[in-house]
Amino acid sequence: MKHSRRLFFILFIFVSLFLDIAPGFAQDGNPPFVDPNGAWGEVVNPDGSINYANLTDGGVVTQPADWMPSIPGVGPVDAEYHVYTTPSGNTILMPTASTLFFMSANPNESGFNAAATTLGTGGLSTAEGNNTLTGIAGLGAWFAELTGSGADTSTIFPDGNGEQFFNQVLSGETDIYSLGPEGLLNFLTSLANQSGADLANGDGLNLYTYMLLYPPGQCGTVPGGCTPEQLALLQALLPSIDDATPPAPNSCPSPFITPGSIIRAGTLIDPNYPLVVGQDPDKRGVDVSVNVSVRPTIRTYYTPEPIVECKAGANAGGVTNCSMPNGQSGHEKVVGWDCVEHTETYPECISYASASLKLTSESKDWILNELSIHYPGAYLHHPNISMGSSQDCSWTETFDHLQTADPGNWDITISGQTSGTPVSEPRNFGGAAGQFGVWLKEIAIIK
Amino acid sequence: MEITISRNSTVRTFTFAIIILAVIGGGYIAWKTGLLDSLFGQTQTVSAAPANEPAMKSMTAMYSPSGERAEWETQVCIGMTEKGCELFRAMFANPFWKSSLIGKTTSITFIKIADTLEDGSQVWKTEIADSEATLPVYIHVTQNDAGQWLLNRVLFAQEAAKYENQ
Repeated sequence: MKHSRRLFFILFIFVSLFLDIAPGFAQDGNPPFVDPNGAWGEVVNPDGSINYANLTDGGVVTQPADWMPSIPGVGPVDAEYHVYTTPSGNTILMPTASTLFFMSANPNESGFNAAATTLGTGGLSTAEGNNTLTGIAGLGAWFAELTGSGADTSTIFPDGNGEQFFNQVLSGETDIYSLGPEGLLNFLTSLANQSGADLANGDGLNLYTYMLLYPPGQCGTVPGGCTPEQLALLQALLPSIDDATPPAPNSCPSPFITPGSIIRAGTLIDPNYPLVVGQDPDKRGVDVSVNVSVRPTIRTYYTPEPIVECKAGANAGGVTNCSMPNGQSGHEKVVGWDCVEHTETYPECISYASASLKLTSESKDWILNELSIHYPGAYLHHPNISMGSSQDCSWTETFDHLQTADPGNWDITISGQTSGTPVSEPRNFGGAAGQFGVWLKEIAIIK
Repeated sequence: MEITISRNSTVRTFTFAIIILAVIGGGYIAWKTGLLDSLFGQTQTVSAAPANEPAMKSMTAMYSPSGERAEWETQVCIGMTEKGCELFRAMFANPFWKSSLIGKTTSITFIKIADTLEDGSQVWKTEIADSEATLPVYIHVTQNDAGQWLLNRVLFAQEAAKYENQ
């Protein structure tokens, strides 16, 4: 009695299922929503009917499959599908009712989960993860929803086997035979009757309640393999097939830092020909200008940036998101990488600086050696003259009437240290930044 | 009016109630644990000559595909239930016809009743043998009104594993 009641409900479910799916796509009062720009836009018209004119019929493929139930001494029952290909190279697989059932029972082994996207027909529909499963594939989830929404599970399947059975179909368990020999007989006969009736009527449409879409790159794993057209398309699209493994980013150059140059200048302003102050009754001396500043420090670095191109057809996920030059829809794909240069600028200041005038060593030697022959007792009066210092960010200043008492060449020296930046250390600087001469007036008596 | 209940009467009534409850409880436990099935289910047996049952003849034909396919399918279906024949033609016939069994002659031997189901149908363990090997095969059979055992279908290997492990 328990089994009779269970079988009654199983048959009730399948009668309901097949009554619902019988109208098929064209007559379905509630057609599935199809994005006309998506992969299914090539397959299904806006009214829900299949756009057969746009599809290439690959015929019915029958082949052994180890995930189908196995007959002792014979081997697995054949899996059977109707195969179509779309203009962009996608494969549409329509398994028969019984094949679909065992596909959904072994979703990984059968390639059910490998489909980029699926589309089902019929009134039984439920969401399972990101997919909406309908018809036979949705039966398990539908049944769970039904029982969870208020129906008394213990009344429908007193021992719970029925619920487990239908849930197992979609959970991927391979042992789906908990229904027992007599229950599975009814179940399989229902599927076979449905298939047989459709075939007898010459109407294969009702037989197929589910469509699975595989992108061109996966046609090798689809029952029946790749069509010649798909192989040709694959050759043409070869660079874009490997959506899953874009090329690795380039190894970009290491970042580097360019320190800003330190600008130093010492200039004689006036007079053009200064006289040593000892011979100048006006004690004019010299006017000298100093200037020091630091240009910004530059940090240069590189980042790998993808090179994206639009490739024909949908990607592995069935998505099209760009247009080819000829108007054909395509998908964006990373085809390579570029190293793009970036710079960062860091301003830098003078931390402190000082300026002085120094008689060159050559001039000192000239005074102490050569000049002392003519002027015995000649000596260095004041060979170093300090001008001043600054702690401003940059320094420009003119020093007037500096009393240069020694003749010869004078170096204008500027020394100090920069402040440094967040990416560079402080730097010392120093040495001659300019030079000028101070003249000695000589009187010679000629016979 | 004073009602007098004797001590013996009370003990008898109480003992009787205990016995009734024990019988009901024991029966319930036996039913839940399948003890009744194991005790009384075995009373339903196959005939004395199971090889002559239509189911076994269908099995012999099924595992010896030859001649014209349509004739072979008809021959197999003679010993099958209507539903079993439908399923055989739709799902089983093609794999058999394409298998290496074509042209081979096999013999089928009844081994035992592996299971008796609640609707009265049974699972039989048989053994198929050709010149090279033997293979256990479990079949689901149903008794018709005339008492003959008809073949529903051959159990898949996945289902048979359950009985192999028993």
